[in-house]
Amino acid sequence: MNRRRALWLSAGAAMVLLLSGHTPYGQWVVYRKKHLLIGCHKADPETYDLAKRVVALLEKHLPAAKSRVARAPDAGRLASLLGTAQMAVATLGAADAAAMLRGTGRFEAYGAIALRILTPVAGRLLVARADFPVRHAWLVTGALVGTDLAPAPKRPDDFGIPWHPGSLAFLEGRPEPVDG
Amino acid sequence: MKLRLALCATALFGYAGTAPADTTDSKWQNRVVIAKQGVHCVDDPNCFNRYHPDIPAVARAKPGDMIVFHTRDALDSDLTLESNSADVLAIDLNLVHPMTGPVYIEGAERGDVLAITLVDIVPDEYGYTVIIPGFGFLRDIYTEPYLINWRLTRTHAESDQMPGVKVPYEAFMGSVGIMPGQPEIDSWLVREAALGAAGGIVLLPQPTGAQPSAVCGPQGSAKDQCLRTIPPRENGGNMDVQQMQVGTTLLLPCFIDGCGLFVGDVHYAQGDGEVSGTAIETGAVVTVTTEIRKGQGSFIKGPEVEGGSQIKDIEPSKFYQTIGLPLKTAGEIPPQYTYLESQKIQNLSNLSEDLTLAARDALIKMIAYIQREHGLDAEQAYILASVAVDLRVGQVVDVPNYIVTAVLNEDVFAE
Repeated sequence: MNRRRALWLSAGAAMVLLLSGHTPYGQWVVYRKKHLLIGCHKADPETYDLAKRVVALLEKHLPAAKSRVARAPDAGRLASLLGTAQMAVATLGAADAAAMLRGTGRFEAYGAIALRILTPVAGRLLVARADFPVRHAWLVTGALVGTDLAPAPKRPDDFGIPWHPGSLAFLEGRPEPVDG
Repeated sequence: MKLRLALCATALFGYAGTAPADTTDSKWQNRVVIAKQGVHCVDDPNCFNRYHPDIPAVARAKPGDMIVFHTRDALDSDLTLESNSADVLAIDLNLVHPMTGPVYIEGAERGDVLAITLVDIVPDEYGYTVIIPGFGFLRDIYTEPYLINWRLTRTHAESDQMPGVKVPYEAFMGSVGIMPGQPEIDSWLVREAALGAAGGIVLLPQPTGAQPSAVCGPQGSAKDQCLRTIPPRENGGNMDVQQMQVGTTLLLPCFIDGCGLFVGDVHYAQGDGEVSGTAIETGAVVTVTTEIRKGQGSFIKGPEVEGGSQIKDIEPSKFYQTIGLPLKTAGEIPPQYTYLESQKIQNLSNLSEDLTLAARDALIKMIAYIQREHGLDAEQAYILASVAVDLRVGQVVDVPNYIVTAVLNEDVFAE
């Protein structure tokens, strides 16, 4: 059994995302518990293509995530959604992700948003909220690393953004976390 | 001779340059225009998305003035004709609903009634209808995001995603209201908290994304008291009643001096029920006039409407109707029955005196009819029902089976 097959099986149970959320519609949270939204935005069209490729790979290797593309008009809207737990994961340029993390520049109005790297993907970063469950980060990173989208499981230190502990655990060969 | 020519020229041309050439320049209306500024509500000092009496008026108008509101779409969205369902998933629901105003009506006081007559609605060229997961009357059945983009004119709406369908222009203000006073804020927060404690759906104050931020935002002076705009209340707001067509007059009790009139969330067309959760949503330019009815707040306690033939004008010339009974599958708990120990109904297949279940039955039958007879898929049919099917009460006496019907306007199917 290869590692990706093991991933698929380990995620056999529903991948429920525990986003408490600040969304006004309680029912809306239900959808976001069932589906892993991959955020992207129109102002950087490359992120839309990347998000679609991420979703395709997750559908293949981690179908329990039931991932979907969520396209915002701009990075500011993504900051609003990420910052209020209406979304957990997004594809972003490294500069945007770093500015969101610090709450600077055009993201100042949203405050500092605790983001963590799941993996670099073809010139952008796949990032998640810091409270994204450790196990889910391990699974998502494991589903993408080694594919043409994220071929090299390296840990660059020049993004200025911390890695998610679940992603680090996967890259360092540690077993799938049992919690989260 | 030269002098006579000059006088003739003055008579023929000079006068035309300084006086009306036709009726265009002859004016009598006093117009108060509340224009849009910036891309979104957050950029616009004339826009807000929460209710509180401390939200300052952005303009003043006298009764009889033509008040022109430039309004935004219900979701304060960035949707366009090129948008797709991926864009629906990134909608920020904290931004619902951007309202234009409020306008201080001179002479109006708490205890009066404000009569608001709708004069005109000029829609934007684009509108949309969406299925938002977890929202809408059949939210347990339609669980994926879906978007129909409409091209709008003053006669009808068309969409490449809904071939063969033309929805007639029957626009109205989805949201129109006046500001609550502090007693209303206090009372409504208490009753909504009690409902929430009982398991009902309640949308509590949400400072994130709230406008104006100085009053309702995370650091706002009344951030825990600014009411969400989703539920309609005694101050009007998000009523979504399609009979409020051009020419009708809405009556609202004033809760603060000046009333604080606001308008937004225009619906280009909508069926009674707005079942998918949205109508044909669009921005627009809305013109209204007002009249103050002194003291009538003592007996008009919430929104009421005066109208004429408008209620007939929006009726179809050809229709199909399904009849809904309060029936369901044993074991099923529809989403509207998930509070007040309503799990007791789970094993029943027939409920007593229940209009909600009868409406659900009628609507499901109607969607099946649209699919069967008009070849639309399930999501298209649900969207069409939201904009062109009217849910109507048949009777509330023939126990246990009250009846709600679903009436499809068959005129929407182009020859």
